[in-house]
Amino acid sequence: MKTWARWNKTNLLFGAVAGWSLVFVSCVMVQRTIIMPPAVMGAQFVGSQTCVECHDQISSSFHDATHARLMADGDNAKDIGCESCHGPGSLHNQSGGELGTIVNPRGNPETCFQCHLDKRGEFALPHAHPVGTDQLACTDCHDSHSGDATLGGGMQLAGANDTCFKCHEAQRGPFVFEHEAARESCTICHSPHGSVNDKMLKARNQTLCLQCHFQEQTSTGDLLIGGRNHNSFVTRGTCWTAGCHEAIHGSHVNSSLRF
Amino acid sequence: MNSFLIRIMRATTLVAIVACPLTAQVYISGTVSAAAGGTLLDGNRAAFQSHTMHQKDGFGGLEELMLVREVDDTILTVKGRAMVGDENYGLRLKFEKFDAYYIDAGYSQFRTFYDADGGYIPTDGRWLPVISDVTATDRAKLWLEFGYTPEDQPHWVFRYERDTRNGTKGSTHWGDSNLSTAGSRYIVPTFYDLDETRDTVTLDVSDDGEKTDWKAGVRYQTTDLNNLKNTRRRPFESADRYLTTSDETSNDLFATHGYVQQTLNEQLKFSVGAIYTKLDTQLDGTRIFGSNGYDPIFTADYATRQQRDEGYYNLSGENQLKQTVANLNLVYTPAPGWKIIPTVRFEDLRVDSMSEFIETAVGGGSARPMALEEFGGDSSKDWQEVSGRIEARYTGIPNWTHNLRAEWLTGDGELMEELIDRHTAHIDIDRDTSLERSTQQYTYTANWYAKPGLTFATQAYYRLRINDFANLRDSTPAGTSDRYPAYIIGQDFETTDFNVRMTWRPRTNVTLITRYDIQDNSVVTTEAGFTKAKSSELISRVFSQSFTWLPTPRYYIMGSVNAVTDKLSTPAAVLVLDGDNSYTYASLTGGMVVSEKSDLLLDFTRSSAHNYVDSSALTVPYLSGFDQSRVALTWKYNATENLVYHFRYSYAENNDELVGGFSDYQAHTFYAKVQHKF
Repeated sequence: MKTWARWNKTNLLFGAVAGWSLVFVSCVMVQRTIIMPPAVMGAQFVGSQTCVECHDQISSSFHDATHARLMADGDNAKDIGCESCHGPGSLHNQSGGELGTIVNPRGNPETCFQCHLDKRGEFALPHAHPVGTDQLACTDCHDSHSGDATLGGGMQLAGANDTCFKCHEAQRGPFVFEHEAARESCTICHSPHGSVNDKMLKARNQTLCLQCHFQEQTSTGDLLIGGRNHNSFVTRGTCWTAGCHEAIHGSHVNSSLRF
Repeated sequence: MNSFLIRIMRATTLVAIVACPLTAQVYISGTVSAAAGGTLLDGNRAAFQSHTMHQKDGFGGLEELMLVREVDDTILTVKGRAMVGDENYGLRLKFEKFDAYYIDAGYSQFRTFYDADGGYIPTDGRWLPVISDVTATDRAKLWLEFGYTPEDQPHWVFRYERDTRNGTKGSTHWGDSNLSTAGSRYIVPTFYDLDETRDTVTLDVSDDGEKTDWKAGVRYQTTDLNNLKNTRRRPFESADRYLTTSDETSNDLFATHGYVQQTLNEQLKFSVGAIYTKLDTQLDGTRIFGSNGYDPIFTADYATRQQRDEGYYNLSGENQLKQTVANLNLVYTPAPGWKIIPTVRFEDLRVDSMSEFIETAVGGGSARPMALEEFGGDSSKDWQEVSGRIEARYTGIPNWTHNLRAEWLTGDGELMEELIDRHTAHIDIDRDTSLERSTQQYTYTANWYAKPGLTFATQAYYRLRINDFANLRDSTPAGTSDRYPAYIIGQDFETTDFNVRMTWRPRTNVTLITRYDIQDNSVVTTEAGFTKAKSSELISRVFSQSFTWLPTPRYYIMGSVNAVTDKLSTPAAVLVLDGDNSYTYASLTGGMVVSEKSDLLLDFTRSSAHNYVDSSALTVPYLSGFDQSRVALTWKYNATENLVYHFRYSYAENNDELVGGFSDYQAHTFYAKVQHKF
């Protein structure tokens, strides 16, 4: 395969001349300004109380939201509020909520990435949920306005896995022979934002299963699991890819989740 | 071309204007964008499409239509898109009369591309691309919602929604091959052929009062699956077989829920909620081998059969799940700056399942006879759990927040499982397991707004979940070879996490954000006949840094870096390599005004993982090794205040060591968009 253009003298010289020419033209010839996304051109901060006038349903339930933990008294924290995520709201307020006058994190995850920096990298991995496209948004699995930020699980009525079953119906079960790990949570095996591994798995090799299904060795070279020595099986592939335990989410026919 | 597009856009606006009554005050705003693009690709098409979610051969059409028409106390919203090639379509119409009613209807569809790779054995460069077509699934949603929303009265919302998923995608359940000199390896790609449909009807009624909010509703949902998993075993050998596993499950779900929130006084607010769910599932499926293509009809004497070709057919059965969940939540403000939030939750679950099927197995010897046995399986599970949480928030110190949360859970239940050979009446599996689980978690979160532009945030938590499994009755006692999962009698999951974030704005035009997270997960397992032992430890460290800089109002630069180490170790490292999911990510985005009408935008991203180890002498190599880069340059031309053109060139490159370079590509993508705002 070809690789990136090399840093040689000619390329560097050309790049520098082109870059500085643009900078020069921009500085000297132009008076217009540019905005850095996500932001709204020409808008000013107006404070959260202004938002309450129209969005009282959202503000009234914000008291127990995970994000409400950010709210503090004091001069240094006075700017923390709705506009921390939605950008300055003056134009939105003046126009009566006109389109494009406020930042909507549903359409652009950059708002969330401002604090959750690590998630930007996770969603850029080869195996990730398509957040950042129009297919999926952070808000499909998270609620920033009320209750726990993660939809489902904890003290909520819906279970943690119900969020996943909204799209992944085939994994819902129930199965005649269940996999107890599924009862724990889908996130026991999957990284919900993204992973270096196919199917967003936390580990792509046999260690994914060996985290739980490992029996102490009774002699060197043995890999005793469930009373059976698996040392020759692991040469062929992983526990679930090598034709042995395919029904990893649960089975209707086999208690060892073979298929 | 441009004038043609402008005419279409003006016509769109005109239609909306003409549709208005003459006497009413009408406000119309919106956006319409048309776009097209295509790629010159050198390399693997499936990998490129799965990474970019764009059709390689080109895409184009209406990228965005947004129209809002306000007349007096009504608002009509129209959203649409139709991108041919990417198969991304949508149309939504919403009409609302404020404080009276609304109607919301639409259709939405998008395509997700996949690469259905198999495994690669570097020893002899073995790679078996048996799937010729690019795999992709289409998800579609059709909905109709009607809301009756009179002022100061309860609101009613009725919704019907149909969700479908159709298409093919890769699986990690690979088939085997003996062609590699390394030995028998499961590296042959497998793919799913999906056909899923779900219909949901909901009816909700809610009321937001001054002191009391409440909501109640019912949901009825039916789901039909008709999914196939297609595996090829030992292709290009005399033992070439096709294996298809079908899942034709269907279910009916009924759920009813209610919720009340009451403000008792300025200091005390409480809410209570409950949900009851009943899920009835009908089972149907097969797992059948054949010699002449996927989705074969069962025959006992297919030509290429091998010993231990195991499957089943005539699966029938049912599951019934009944679940009740309730919670109670208080928000108590005992003094200014304090907030105490106690919560309790209760769950009761009952699941009954049964299945009947005919198991098929091929015997040994030259005749390789097919054996058929009729089996019946059943299980039942009871589960009750109670959990509680108390959270204290303190904001009494200016510019500080402190939050402490403690959470406990205790649950117990019983699981009974049976598998019976109907012909001999022999009970192969007869197991009664008592389940107990307890969890405790403690979380501390603090934010310190140290000075304008400087913020520190930190969180630490500790979590311990203890699972105990007592096998009250077990037909597969210790020492037998098929004990799953009964050989585990205890499993403890322990997590310790600490993260800290600093947001610093040293100058008004510079922002730096730094975050560091370290997490340690360990699993301690107790197995029948053995002492408790640590069965795994996962340690991950994530360092993230971002910066934004606006040197003048005419430029901006944003950059970010993530460096992640993520290592999973088990005592089996002698036989299986420890997991390593470490990677780095970097991005750089810049924008610049270059003339009164033109902007230049630059985007660069790069993700890399270098964990690959050639373990093909021991097994199939799995640890990842890739470099993925993309750079894009966009010229944005603001022809008028309402008419904007975008022209973008992007270059993307992928090098994937795990599959021996078979997923590599270099791609030059050209994209143009014209956007009209009105």
